[in-house]
Amino acid sequence: MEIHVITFQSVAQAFRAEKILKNQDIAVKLIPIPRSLSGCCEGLAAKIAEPDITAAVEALSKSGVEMIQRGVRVRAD
Amino acid sequence: MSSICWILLTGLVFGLGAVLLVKFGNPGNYGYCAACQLRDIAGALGIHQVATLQYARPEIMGWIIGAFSLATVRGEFRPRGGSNPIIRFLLGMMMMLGALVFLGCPLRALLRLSAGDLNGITALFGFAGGIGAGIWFLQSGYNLGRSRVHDNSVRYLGYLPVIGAIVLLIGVAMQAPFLQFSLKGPGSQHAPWLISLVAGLAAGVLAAKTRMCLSGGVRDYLLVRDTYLLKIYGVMFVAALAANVYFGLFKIGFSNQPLAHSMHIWNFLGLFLVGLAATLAGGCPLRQLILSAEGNTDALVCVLGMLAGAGLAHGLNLAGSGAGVGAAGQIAVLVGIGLTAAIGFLFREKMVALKEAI
Repeated sequence: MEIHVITFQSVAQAFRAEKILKNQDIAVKLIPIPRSLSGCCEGLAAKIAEPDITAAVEALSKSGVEMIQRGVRVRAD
Repeated sequence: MSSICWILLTGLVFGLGAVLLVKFGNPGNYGYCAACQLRDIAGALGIHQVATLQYARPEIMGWIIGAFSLATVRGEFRPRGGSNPIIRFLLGMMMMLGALVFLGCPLRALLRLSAGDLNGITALFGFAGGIGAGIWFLQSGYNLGRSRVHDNSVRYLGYLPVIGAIVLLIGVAMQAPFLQFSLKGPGSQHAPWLISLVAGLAAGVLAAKTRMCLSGGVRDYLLVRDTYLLKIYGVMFVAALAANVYFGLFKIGFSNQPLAHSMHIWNFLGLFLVGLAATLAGGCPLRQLILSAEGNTDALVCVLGMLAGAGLAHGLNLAGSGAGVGAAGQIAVLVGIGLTAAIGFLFREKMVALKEAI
């Protein structure tokens, strides 16, 4: 199964993103960074449905949330 | 193979491997332990001078060579780093200090419990408490900065762990004079080196594949209720428990356990320090070793910090022993918790004021 995620600089940024997206009524679920994406195990990623990615990235950039991966398709663990 | 198969396989290899290594000669409840075995390697290299704790444990070399091989085969060996190395060095020292006060890394805490050593419970509660404190810092914006792929000559340092592991392995196999070998005590007890190596290789490949990490497991559960990593440890615990019972190694209680003491406060606080430092460093001692083998120079610096921490803990008599923890060790753990908490506090990013999207 493949999922779409946005990743962040820090755990705190991920929680900020979750709050902002929920305010925008965009469905979001925080998950540990998928293994296929990062060899390192720090941090969280936001899982978002594909049609919502553009709106989510736009809302987060407007609010000043620093993203690393702005909506990338990865294999779910 | 689906993720549930990897969880089962990894848990079984770690659980059964750990008990079999004890059967083949390792000290009690000491099949795998990232902290103690690295401490013995520090002894073999003369970083500390405790005559009974010197043996370049091939299990650790196996972890590193196994993880390196898997990363290379899968094209995932990418030297990277540059995220506050000096802080990671300090966090590595703190992890080792806390682990040596308790006498074991979080992995060994669980293995000790699987053989009936109830001190493992106290320590694991402390470990979870330390991770909880670390999470508070994570949620407050703690961040050591982003690591980058090394595109200059620093990338060759990514090979340092595997080269070091191979050199040490040759040294152990040939009983080379550049290494010290304990003649008595825990350092003299070990499985034949080839068995240790094979057990380490299997564990290393699987730990790298699954990103096994106990602090990460507790952290992921507390943060987002993800249980993938914890399941591996669950399987490992059950496998080790069954093997310990089968071989008659299971003995329940707090006292007279192998390489352990029952000073509950210091068992709790020792692994509290490990949990806190591991959460701030992004992984427990086992995970740092695996990451360093995959070319992560930040994790390598953390491992070097652990080696230095072993030197410090034994040089200044801070480490625990069967007799307990001395006053110096008790003070050191408290200072360590204070220092690690200060790191968590000072490295919070300055958040731009949150502009609520309307």
